[in-house]
Amino acid sequence: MTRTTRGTARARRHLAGVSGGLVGALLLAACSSPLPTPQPDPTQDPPPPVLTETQETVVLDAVASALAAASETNDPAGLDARVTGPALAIRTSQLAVAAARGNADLVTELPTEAQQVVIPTTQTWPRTSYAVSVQPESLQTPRLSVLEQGAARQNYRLWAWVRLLPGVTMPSFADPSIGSEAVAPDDSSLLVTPTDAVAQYADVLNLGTGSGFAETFEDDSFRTLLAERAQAWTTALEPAAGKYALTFTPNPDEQVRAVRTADGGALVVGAMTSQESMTAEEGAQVPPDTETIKALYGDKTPTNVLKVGYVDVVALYVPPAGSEEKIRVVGNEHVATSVANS
Amino acid sequence: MLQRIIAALLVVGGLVAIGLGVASATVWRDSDTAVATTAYTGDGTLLVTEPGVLDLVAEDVTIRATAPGEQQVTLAIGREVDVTGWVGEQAHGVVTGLADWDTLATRAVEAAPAEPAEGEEPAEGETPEGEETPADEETPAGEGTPADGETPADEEAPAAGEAAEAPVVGLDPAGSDMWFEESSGAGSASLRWSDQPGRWQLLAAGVGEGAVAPTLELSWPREVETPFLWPGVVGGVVLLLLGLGIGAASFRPSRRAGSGRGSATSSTPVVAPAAAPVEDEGNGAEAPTDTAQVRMLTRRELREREEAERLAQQQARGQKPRRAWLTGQIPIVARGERRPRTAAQPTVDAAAGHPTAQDSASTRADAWRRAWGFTPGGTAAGTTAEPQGDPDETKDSTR
Repeated sequence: MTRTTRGTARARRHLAGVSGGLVGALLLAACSSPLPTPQPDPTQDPPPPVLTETQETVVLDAVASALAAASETNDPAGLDARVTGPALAIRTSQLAVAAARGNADLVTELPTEAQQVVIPTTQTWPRTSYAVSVQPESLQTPRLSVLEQGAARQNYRLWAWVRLLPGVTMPSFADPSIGSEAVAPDDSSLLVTPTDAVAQYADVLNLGTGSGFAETFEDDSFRTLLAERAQAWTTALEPAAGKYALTFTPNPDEQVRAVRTADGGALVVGAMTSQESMTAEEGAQVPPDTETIKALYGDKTPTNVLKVGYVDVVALYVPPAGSEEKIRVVGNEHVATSVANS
Repeated sequence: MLQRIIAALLVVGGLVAIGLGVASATVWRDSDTAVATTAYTGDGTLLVTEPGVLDLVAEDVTIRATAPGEQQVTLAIGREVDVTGWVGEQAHGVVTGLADWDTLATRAVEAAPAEPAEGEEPAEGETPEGEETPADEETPAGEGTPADGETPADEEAPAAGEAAEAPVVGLDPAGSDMWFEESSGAGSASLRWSDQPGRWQLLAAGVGEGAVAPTLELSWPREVETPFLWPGVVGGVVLLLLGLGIGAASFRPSRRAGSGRGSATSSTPVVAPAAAPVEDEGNGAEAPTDTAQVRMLTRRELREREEAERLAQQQARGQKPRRAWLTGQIPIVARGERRPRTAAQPTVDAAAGHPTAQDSASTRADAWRRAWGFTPGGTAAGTTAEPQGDPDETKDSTR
């Protein structure tokens, strides 16, 4: 009995000592928990879209409010922060026309709300995103806007817009949560490279069915419109031995923007300029015809020459290489920005 | 006596353990928030956190940046590519993690070599001096030794030269479309962020002329674990109970020693030979080997001895209590006394086996039938049912 009692007592004492020491040691250990080290997520591959849809909406809102602010005063000064490239040229001209006419009817309405956005996965700069607007209040066709972030320290700016041609179907794009790959201007995975597509379309516009590329492009209503206008002017100038000419030139300063579609093709947006000239015999007068041209023409006395400079933007769907499809014109913008009478 | 000391020690130990356990979860509990700040004094007006720093401790982080005076401060959170792209090749500080629980480790990134500026070696010395962060010292030191002419000097000199010549103008990252969160303020700015999948970086910028990189403070809610609370309390309670139990036990034997132990103490060393017959008597009280004489003697003697022993024990206790334990014989006798008593108890249990045997399902059913006069097939069936129960009982009892 004694031995066992003493044994257990000793054991208990021992236990008490051990547990006491243990508690103390653990308490000390608790005070110095180890420092965590950064464990970042792995880099995503393929890269994620550079903007969320929410951010894209914010961008579109910012652009819209810049445009609205400029429209209110017909002053393009503030546009620079959110509008650039052909869009800035067109808008500046449109605001000038609106100021001259005292009427903003001819300022292209650009709805803020988008029915579709295309967000790039470009990890460097420039980055280009696209948005298809809802139908504007004027019941014209929806707009396709091209927004570009030129450098990391810049914001997205509206680079160009086109009015979709009636009856066109937009190609389908990857979901904005996945993002779409930007296509280089010289990408060879397409029927023709984006740069060539725009150049060839300019050739088709200039030469019509006589162009060697006419077969590559589907017919479009823009060409029909131009043909009608050319016909009207030719008829009007005929008695005065006049001549009508319209020449499209891809804008060499503005690179073609392109983005991959879901089927491996690309949506290509290119800037062009076009020069329209109406000349009649000496002594004849060629008056400005459209409201825009009249506004730009101002008080000048009509002469036998009328030259109108346009800023053009064209959006094309270029199918992937080897496709049986033709290049399709999705939309365009053709706005007179300068007028001369000599 | 020793038992009491042990008991007291155990009680005290138990209380201490409980106290430590509770204290570990209250007084010594780590703060609910981990707050760490930067001490970056290097070049540039920008501080960038590496991916993974914002969710270093917890997913939710509160970011606060302060700058001296009314200097504008901007905080922005964006994807790694965007922040890296925005910062570009400008000199900036990078927050790489925690140096300790209160300090964020930083590293200086020099501006990319713009124009090689030679003959500005003295300026080179300024750069590392101005930077206090430990990581910074490595870079200039590594480059400083072979620096004497070419590339390393070129890399550092422009940055130092620029800083010395033109006043630094901190560009404002605020308002970029790329940021997911941003905040600006004069003197300080703060931001909250919950981690999302992806590689996120924080950009903290001092804005304006002569701006300096802001001081960054990241605070995370920390889930503080109290791993010692319950072990401490439970262990303490166990010790406490053990102590109390031993204490109680140490008191009880002393009472027994007065009455019951008399016989036990009869076997003190002096009367050792007599202990054997006593034991025998205890073990086999009804053993036929014992003569009447022995019994007569023992009864009388027992009483006398009891008295004598009581006195002897009291004396012994008063003089040297330890020896009584050290001899070891007293307890043995005490056990010998107890054993038969405790041994007798099992036999009582064995006898009690009958009631449990009767409690079998069939007997219970029979009892129930009898009590309620329930006979499924009439009296004949009832009588046949009873005999069935009886064999069960006998079987059980034999078991």
